[in-house]
Amino acid sequence: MSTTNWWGDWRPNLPAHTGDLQPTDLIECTSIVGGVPVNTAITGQQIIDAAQGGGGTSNPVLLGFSGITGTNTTTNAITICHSLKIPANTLGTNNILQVVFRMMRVTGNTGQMYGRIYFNTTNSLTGATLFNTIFTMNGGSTQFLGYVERNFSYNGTNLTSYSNAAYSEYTTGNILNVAFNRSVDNYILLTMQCQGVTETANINLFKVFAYV
Amino acid sequence: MFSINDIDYTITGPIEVVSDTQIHVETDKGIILVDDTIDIYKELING
Repeated sequence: MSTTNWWGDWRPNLPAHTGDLQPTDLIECTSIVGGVPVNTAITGQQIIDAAQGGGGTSNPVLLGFSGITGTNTTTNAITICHSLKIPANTLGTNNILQVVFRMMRVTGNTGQMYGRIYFNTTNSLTGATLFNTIFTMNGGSTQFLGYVERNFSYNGTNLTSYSNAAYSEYTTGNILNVAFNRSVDNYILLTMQCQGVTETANINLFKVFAYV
Repeated sequence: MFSINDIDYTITGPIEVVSDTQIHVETDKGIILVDDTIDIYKELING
């Protein structure tokens, strides 16, 4: 077999590619077709598409996560433990926003601890819109962690889930809408509040996915 | 009516005191958290 047409033969000392793979990059490739080497090029876009499962979009898209505690709350003030920016135009008019977080009783085991979800266009509670459900961990037993999940359907105007104090969604509840302007930056604010001012609450896990 | 960050809110329901420095206000744009860092807080909490 002749090897005169192998790219590897005539470009043996190419420098390593620098920077991230770009859709316009070309990766030289030689296939043996009928015993004859045939030179082709694979585009960076083909590799990106293949890495994403062959489609143009990977779903769900992980917008952010944390596996450690955020800001402690040690007073009865509602406190942002973790927050996440959702950049403008991340969501479309037929999407799902999945928010998961885990409440944590850091110290004390007497009073209740309350988790809430807010949305705001700044990373601040001032003027934030409450998703009007309170997730409660009672004191005096073994309620040290509470895993909360809400899936919001989004129609371009409202994030919709339901009002129910249950942590999970495997139940029923009233419909609850939160207005969400997708054309601007938004923040999800995951908060905790202690009933007893000598206790400490936090959130030690969160993950937010968008189905877009 | 009150404004925060140039957004106008019309009060449509009760005001709930949620901590020593924070209230929830039911408005036409949902339930909004107002805290004592803004002037309108004292007016709202005093009714």
